[in-house]
Amino acid sequence: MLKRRNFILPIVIFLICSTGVFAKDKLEISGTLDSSIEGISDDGELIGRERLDLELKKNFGFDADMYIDLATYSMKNEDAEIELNEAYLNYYTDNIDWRIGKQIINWGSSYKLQPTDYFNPHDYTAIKPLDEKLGVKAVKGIYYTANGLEITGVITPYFERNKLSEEKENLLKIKGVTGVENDIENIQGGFKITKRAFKGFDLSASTYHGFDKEFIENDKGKFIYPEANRIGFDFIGDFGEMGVWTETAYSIYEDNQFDNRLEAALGIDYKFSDDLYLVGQYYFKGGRLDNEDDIKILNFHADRPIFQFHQIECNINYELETETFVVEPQFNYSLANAVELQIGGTYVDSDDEDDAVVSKLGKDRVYTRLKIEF
Amino acid sequence: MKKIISLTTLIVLIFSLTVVASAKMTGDDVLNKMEEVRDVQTTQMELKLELYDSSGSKRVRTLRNISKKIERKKALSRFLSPSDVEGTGFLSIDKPEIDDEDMYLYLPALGSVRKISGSQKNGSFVGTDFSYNDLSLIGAENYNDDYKAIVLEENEQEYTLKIIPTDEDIDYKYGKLILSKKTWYPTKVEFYDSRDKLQKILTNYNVKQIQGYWTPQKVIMEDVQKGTKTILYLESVVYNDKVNDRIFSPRYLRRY
Repeated sequence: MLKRRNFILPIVIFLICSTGVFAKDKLEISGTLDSSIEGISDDGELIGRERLDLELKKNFGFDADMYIDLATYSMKNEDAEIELNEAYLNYYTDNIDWRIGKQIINWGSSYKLQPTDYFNPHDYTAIKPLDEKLGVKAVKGIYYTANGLEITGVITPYFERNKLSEEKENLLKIKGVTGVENDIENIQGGFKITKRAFKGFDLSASTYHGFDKEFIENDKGKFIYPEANRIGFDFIGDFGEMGVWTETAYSIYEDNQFDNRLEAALGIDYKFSDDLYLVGQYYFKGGRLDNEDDIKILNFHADRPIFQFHQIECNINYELETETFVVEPQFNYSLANAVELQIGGTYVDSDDEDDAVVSKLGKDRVYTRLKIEF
Repeated sequence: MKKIISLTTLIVLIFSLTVVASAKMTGDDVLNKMEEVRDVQTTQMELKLELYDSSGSKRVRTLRNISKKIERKKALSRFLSPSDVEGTGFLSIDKPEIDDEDMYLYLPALGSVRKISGSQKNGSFVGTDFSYNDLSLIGAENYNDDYKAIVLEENEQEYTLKIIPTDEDIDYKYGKLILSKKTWYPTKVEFYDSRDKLQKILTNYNVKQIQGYWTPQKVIMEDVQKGTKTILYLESVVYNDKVNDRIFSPRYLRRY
């Protein structure tokens, strides 16, 4: 833990000390206050969550800037926790953009489930897990070539797993899953080459060496995050007026007991002139062992503004193997500039809820959520 | 004597033809002249946007727009406030060789640049009454690229044109454009949907000369079907200042 703090501390100290040196560039302070109440329909439990993200940004001339997202959050009336969600320094040269620090690295063009998004685990304790990623400590460089290629390299010194809810952690402990390492101190790395606007398409090819973000029991009865090498491909563009994308990643495991696996997403989107936006996507993830099922999910999303400032949206996820439906309607009511009240619900229809991957997205519930950005 | 008569007839004929030709500009000629008169190389402007819903409730946003028209048309728009849209950026790069354009959107919450598909270009630009395709109409640009025109009416003060989209990505069936002959700047444009129903009205107010270019101080885009409107106030504008070509790239779109 000490090592992790040491990584971030110099950035924070540098930011504070530098405010006097670079007085002409002011420190910008902004943030988000997020307060929600969930009512779980199975047991009538009410879960309250509070989260304050304080964001600090400072420019150092035109060549560098810094960003810190300090999150304070509490859940179920427990003591508040403070965490640096992101804290990084950007340094720009003529052809290379560097970013060092805790950051979110978004790779992949698919809708929410992105096979080539190798680095950041999802936060399954969040009210919308697929919208929340955890920052990872990393050094990232993007080199822009004269002929329009973007070559990205990423190195992360520590592995981070998906963050699971307390109930799921307890469930795993009951099953005897206690010895899984949280931080594996091995360097992960990845490269990506992107060519934009090639005959109307953005194309990317990527490689990665690291670990699966979800653990599995190996043949010795230990729970591990398997080490893997991956190659990926991503393309996005449009056919006619319809947006299309496909993204694949093929994992080759270091340990022979695991089957190499394919993860892929194929999707389309379309926006009507009345602003109705529709997304459809098929997602596939192969099993790593004979006893681990393939995951096949159909994602649908629709949203549309109503009365100019407000919005209705609905996500439907259907997992084919377990025949599980998760339906998530939501109404976003804009109270004022940058103040939004969200009212929504989740309905899960499953015969096999424990094994269904999509049931990780939420239980049967209704919720209200107030978001104030400042 | 015969020679003098013939020569006089010829001169009168040529003069008449010239007068007729200059008086009867076609609609496309008018659109081309609109573009020629402006001939702006670069524009940097800051705008205040007031969005009104059908009940009169208001939201306010500020936007910076930078555009360049050297070799190909490029534009970068960035929201400056309020905080829920701050940093949202939009990049458009014209590709005249295939009569299309590449459009990218940057949302700070996602932290990545995403290519926008053709269908999204007709959607609302971040909640305003302007679609992505309409953005180029701020500054009266791209009419001759995206529309062909027919003169419906002409008087001493103005032209009234019927403009018909030539760009397949534009969903309007046609528009009616009123152009001032004094400024060669449109004063009002009505856009009609596929059912011939009036959909939106763009009106330019208080058109003044800034650095020699006619520029409206206020633009209203009204969606008459939804009863909403967006009022755009010009806060500042600089024409033909040096703008680095590198800012019109996905690299700079995400740099905020």
